[in-house]
Amino acid sequence: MIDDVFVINPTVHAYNLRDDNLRPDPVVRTFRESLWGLHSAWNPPDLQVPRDVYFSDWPIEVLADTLFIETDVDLAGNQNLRLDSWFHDGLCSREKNVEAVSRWPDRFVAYVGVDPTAGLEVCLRDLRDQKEELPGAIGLKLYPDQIDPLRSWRMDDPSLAYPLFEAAQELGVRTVAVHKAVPNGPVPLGPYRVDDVDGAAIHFPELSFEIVHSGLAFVDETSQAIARFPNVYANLEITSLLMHRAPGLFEEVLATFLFWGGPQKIIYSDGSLFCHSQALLEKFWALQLSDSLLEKYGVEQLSKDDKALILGGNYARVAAIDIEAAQAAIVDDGFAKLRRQHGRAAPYSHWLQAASAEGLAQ
Amino acid sequence: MSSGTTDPVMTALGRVYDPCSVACDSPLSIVEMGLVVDVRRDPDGRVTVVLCVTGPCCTMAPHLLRAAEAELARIPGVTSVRVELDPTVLWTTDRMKPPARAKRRRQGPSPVQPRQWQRVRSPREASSPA
Repeated sequence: MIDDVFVINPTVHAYNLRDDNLRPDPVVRTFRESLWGLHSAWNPPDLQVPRDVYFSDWPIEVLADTLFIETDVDLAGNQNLRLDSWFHDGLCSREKNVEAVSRWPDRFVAYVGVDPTAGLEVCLRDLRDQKEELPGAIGLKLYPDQIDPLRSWRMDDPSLAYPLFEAAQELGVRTVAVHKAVPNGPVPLGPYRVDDVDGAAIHFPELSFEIVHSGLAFVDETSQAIARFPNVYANLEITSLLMHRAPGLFEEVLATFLFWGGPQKIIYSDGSLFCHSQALLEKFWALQLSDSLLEKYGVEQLSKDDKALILGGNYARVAAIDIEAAQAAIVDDGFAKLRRQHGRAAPYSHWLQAASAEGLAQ
Repeated sequence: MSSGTTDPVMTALGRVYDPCSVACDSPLSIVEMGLVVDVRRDPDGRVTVVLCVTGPCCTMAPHLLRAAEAELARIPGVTSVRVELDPTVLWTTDRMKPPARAKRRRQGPSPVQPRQWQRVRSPREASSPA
């Protein structure tokens, strides 16, 4: 919690960036370098790990310890990432997803993940398998394209996307998070546009749709989507790192979304572990938009209630999470006890300790 | 929405809204839109109004004519009403009254309105607290 606000970080990952997890296409190494650049250039020097630690298989336990002992995040969303043509295990494996929710059911919600470019029948089978394994999973995470060969799909495709969303909804999925805006390496930009969200939102009013990485590109289109549709949200994963890298730009993006959608349509997330949530949460909690921005966009200053919505209230509504019950469930869990005994641990201390035990970060 | 005048004819026409602007949730009257080309009235209470439309294929023209006739007929002292369409008038945004142009500028180039989702709640949103 930050102050008395329950914090949900719905987009967190324990990547596997080992050499042996990379597919052979040269795009993949370039993409991995861009992920390293994200960590090394967008985070301050004291919030980074060495390159050999980063290019390892991040344990899910490290993710949990980092989030719940080192930061004020209370609840997180782990995702089965299906960058199958980039990484052998998709980047964050199904097994890690199962482990996160199984070991810490009061701390993680799960997103299952499928690859729509594999075809509808494959997806439906995959979706059902994962939901059977994780019946409580409330999210579906999707990527808009694959490589080798280059191929993509659209969220408003009635022959592929709509049957998938229908099945997901029937199986209890409440939110569909789609990676948009940020191309995964030197690949076509088209699939990362957000013009296909409209059709999905219109045809599935009972599902929520998170435009992940909102604000890093296609800001106007994202704004129009969160303005028009009650069930479309701007998810700020990676965008939130602009608070370190380019705070003025972050404030412009945030003000734009506040104008068009309101604080009810913005979902904080950051994508930890490639960043450390605590510094970002503190910056966001302290954030006051400048008078010139308030005037330019005709919005009110961020209130505590607005921030509470963005930091967890909106996501709780989307995912049907009872915040009081969620809070009660973790108040005395292992992480909470460690926090009370030792205070908030230093950033990335758990990751560096684990890496050292593996012979990394020497 | 006021036509900004005490002239009863213009006030009546100020109650006739452009349907497309209403659909975009940005209602503007035909006076604000600059669709009123000419107004003639004689001492016997006969009123003639000439309108234009925003484009040659506007399908809302009959609606505008009927709506204007209905409003003008309500004016005390008006004995007959005739509303015509002049298809030769080329409408541009320059014909809009300045306050209407300013309003559209504030709303931005898109017909989408800020937070317009609040007027359309999804079934799930409608059943849970905001």
